[in-house]
Amino acid sequence: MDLIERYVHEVTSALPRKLRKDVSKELRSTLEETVESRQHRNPTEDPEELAVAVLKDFGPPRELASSYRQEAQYLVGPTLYPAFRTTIRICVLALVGLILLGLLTGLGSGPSPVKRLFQGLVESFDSFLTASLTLIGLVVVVFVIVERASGDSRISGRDWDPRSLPSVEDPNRISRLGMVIKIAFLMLLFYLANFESHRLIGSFLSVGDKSGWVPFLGPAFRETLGLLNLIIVLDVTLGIWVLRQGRWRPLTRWLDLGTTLLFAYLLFRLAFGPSPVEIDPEWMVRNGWSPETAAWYADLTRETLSPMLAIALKLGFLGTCIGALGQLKLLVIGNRSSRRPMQGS
Amino acid sequence: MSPSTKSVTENLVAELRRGVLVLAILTQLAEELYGYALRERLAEQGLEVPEGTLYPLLRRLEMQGLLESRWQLGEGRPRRYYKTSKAGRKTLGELSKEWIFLEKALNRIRQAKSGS
Repeated sequence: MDLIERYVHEVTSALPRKLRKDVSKELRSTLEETVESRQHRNPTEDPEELAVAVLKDFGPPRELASSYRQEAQYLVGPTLYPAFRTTIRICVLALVGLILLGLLTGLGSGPSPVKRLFQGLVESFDSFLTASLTLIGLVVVVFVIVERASGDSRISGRDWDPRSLPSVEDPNRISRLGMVIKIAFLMLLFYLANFESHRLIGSFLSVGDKSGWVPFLGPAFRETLGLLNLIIVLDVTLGIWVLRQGRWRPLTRWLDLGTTLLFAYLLFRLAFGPSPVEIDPEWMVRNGWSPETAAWYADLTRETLSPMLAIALKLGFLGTCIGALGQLKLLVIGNRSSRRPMQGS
Repeated sequence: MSPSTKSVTENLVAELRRGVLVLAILTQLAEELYGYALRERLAEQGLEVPEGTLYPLLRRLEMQGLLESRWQLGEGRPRRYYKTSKAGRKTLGELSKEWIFLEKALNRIRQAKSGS
């Protein structure tokens, strides 16, 4: 009966702890009884063969165990899965883009760019692999949180009224997919900005025998991190709230406008204040670069990358202000449409 | 019949049987029985239940409050005896009505089809 013991152990080890003892007792008793009964009917049959036949009838242990479990056995459910897939694709593409950008920005320095590109590719492969796995893990964690926090605003059963469906042109209807992807990216941005920014935003530099990763972000970025975190937390909370409500309402629209204005202020500070990109020559020297290389690279970054980033940030600021105006317009239209009586009611 | 059609048919048959199984179990467990005996009893009456289906289903029905159970020693081994609960009997009444309705409706559809 060793086979039965092994089978029972295999089934129950895949069950929640509180079920194990009880299921194990019942399953063992049932299996023994079934084998004995078949032995009684076929006394000449080899007992082990009989046990094998019975266990085969019960099916693979994991399959049987899954029939005992009632709760949903997934981390990301079917409703959020399309958003999850899109987020993973965007993340991997963005990661490849960031690493290529880091490699290419380091090519302008010193002789033999092809050799350095190859060297950089080899050295970045390891960090790409680690970063992709971390990022995929993070996306899963984020979606598990969104899955559990957002709930399901759809009403089921007989309480559902087709007349409550939002009109196709309703400015207050939400795109669940878009909202979930936005929340996921905000949470990822929170993690990356606070814990991984030095590893992701930078450049691969190779001068003479020395090569390595040089982070770009300076004190100006760290000074605005608190405000960025506040905006992200507000935006994620608002997103989850709107998902639970199933549509935009005047209060959530106003709050959304508020976070957009805060974000515009953040971009304004970064675009018109000290540049967030600033290489620390002392850090480079401490990490084995010569003082000349460190000073040269810090100057190069200040003269080329900082002005380019400032232009991008100014454009971002302008775009955010236009976005805020659009939100204001939606607020006015949304308010008008929610005051209008519903057709057919 | 192609292998894929065969497998689709097998799945549909299994689904159909699963739907009826709860009705059969709640009916049969008017009398207190343990899992193995219940399976034998159903088989005697022509309803073969796959081993891996019955026991988890009994557990789920109990969790849903449709069955009651207790442990008892029988022939030297512990056995879990199940019985339809009060809520289970009420559900059984509803399911039976639905079954009769479905059977009549399906017969009418089949007769109308064979007559046309």
